Amino acid sequence: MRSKLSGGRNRPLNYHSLPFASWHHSTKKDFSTALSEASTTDLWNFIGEQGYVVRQMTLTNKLDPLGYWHPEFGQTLRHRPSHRRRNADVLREVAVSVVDDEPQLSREVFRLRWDSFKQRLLTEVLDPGYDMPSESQFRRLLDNHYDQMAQVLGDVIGPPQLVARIVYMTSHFDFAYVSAKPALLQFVTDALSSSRPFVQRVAVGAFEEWRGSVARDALSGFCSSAEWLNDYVQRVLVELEQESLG
Amino acid sequence: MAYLARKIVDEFWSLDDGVPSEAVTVVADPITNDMRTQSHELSVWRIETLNDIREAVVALTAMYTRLQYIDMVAIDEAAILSRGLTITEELALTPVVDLRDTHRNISNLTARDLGSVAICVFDSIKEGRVWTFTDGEVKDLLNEAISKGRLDKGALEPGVRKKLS
Repeated sequence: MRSKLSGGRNRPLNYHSLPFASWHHSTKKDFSTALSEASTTDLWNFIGEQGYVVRQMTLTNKLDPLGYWHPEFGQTLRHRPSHRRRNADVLREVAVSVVDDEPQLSREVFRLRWDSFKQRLLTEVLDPGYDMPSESQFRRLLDNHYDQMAQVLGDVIGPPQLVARIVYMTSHFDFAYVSAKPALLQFVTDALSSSRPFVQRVAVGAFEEWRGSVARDALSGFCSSAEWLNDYVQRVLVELEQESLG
Repeated sequence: MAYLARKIVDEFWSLDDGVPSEAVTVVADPITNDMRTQSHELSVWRIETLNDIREAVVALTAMYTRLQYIDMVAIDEAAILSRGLTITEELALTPVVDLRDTHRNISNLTARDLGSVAICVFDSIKEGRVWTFTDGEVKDLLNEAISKGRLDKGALEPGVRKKLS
């Protein structure tokens, strides 16, 4: 599907093999040069390799995020010759936003990145004891675009698996970091009241990680439909109580 | 009776009500997400008794990059063998040296075999051979292994090591 959108060529998606992707091993100035010289196909492949191209992209405009971003372009991303230059400009803008992480993303670009992030996240397995591949990307989004993140975190619409993954990644951040981002802390706290025990479980794990009075306060009124989880939390509370006693 | 212990991710096994429903035994998510094979093999840890589940926890969490909770299930080894599946020995990379030779692989797996293993896991859960260990319990088990000289603290990942006493 992607090969059609990028001109119909079946090109290997190893961006290290692309001249354009030399930015990864060089300076931003080099990246800018590479950017200006990159073909539309290179740009498209690069963005895809960074995980920012919607997997379910189809040849209809409906699911085309760039079409949403620049609706007047219609199907130009299919490389209509007359629109080739404008396509490249659009893709260049996306590529820059991917690399620069500038704080002021337009609503459309942020939405594109957030949607892509969510889809990528859902392909990853939440495996306790290990980091998720998307954690650094999540951290960058929070660091650079917290205001916009706060808005979407307050309105996460998606499967409970998505909530669980966001909470799980958050549990790996220091509490000082999380508490400085109230929307993030609220997101985890809300997950304690999820109707799905596996989401609650991950939220409990977050407070286990943070421990101390924060965890005791959050977990003391915990209630789940799953008895095993209620038992689990009681054991955690006993641990926390013992820790508080020294 | 010996068992094969394996870490599970509860999200995929419908532990919401403590036991999975029969219908769950035919869905694909647990197989595609939590039973990923390598070289057609599935990693497990052989334990002689159910009390030994802690040994498997130590072996596994000693390889963690973060000290966190773990869910474990103990599959009846006889149930695996009765389905014609092959169990092979393979030394594990766990830093708990005396547990390395308790590692096994369920080998030569086909897609159909994987379904059989999944059913064994479900049966184990239904029969109550599933445990959950809190962060604190994992920490205690690792500390105990260190104090007994079974585990070199320096061999642990920094994210785990810094949380141990």
